[in-house]
Amino acid sequence: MRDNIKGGALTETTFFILISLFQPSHGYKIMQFIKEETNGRLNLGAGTLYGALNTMLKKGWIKSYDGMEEKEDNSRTKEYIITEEGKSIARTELKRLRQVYQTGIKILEEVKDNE
Amino acid sequence: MSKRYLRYFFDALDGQQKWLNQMAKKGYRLVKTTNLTYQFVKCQPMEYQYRVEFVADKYHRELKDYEEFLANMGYITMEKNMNLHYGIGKVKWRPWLRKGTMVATSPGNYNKELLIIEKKNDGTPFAMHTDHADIVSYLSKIRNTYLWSFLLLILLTILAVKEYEASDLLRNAILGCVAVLSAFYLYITIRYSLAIHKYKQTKKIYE
Repeated sequence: MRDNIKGGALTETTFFILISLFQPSHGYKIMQFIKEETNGRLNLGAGTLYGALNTMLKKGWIKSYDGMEEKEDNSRTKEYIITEEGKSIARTELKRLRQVYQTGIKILEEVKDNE
Repeated sequence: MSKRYLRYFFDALDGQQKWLNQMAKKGYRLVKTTNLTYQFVKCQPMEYQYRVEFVADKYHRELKDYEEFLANMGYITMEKNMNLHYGIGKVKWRPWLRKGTMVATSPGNYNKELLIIEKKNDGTPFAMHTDHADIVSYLSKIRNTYLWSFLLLILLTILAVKEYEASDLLRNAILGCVAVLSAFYLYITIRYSLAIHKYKQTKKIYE
């Protein structure tokens, strides 16, 4: 997982995982959430997701959620939830994305008007 | 009806993965492996898909945690050896995997360098690594393993040839075998290096 400290830019994968964890969720649910929200454009590999979750756990952006979901066979699935630090990181990223969007719109709309 | 095959793959990842998927296409599902054998049972052609994942950088506990994570995603995993060394009580230092700290032990993570991952074919692509930065990091570990194998093989050969006296024929035979194996390791090292270079170039523009 990469995150640009100076520019504060998160990867798309990191950002989507963070916002998927505003509700407690496990690996499969996170993967499905991202797939649905991007209309299938971003289909995360399980290896990438596992690595990203572990990195975010170490950074303290997410934590294990105690109320683990119980499956049909009575086994339990590990769930995660975003921390206050993670929420702050996600909000900062949203602000940056908004800025990128607004600059893009301003320039591209100007070009369109002149054409 | 089950089928048993005796196989060893020098191209442990891509070669093995390709063969398992070919078997799945013919309608065979992998149910058991040992160091050198594969046992299959009949299933519908293309019913399952396989990926062979490099996990030599994971300690025993980490590997179990990863397997549990994959099981929760609906995948079935089987641990597999990459090399053919047997023995209990082995300790191996693998500095190329984790900055100077990686140690493989038997019992433990030794001879469990690979994970065969099975997914029921639902028509969607089956990729374990999808982020460019993650792919580069993953491929680098594999490339480094083959590079070190190549370098160690060359070094050991030089030392062995210097140390022991042998007949010209025996010496040439050993050197011939080592040359073929070294060339193969070098070929795989270059193949992974080219793939890493390609992803690094893409990473400069795309995530």
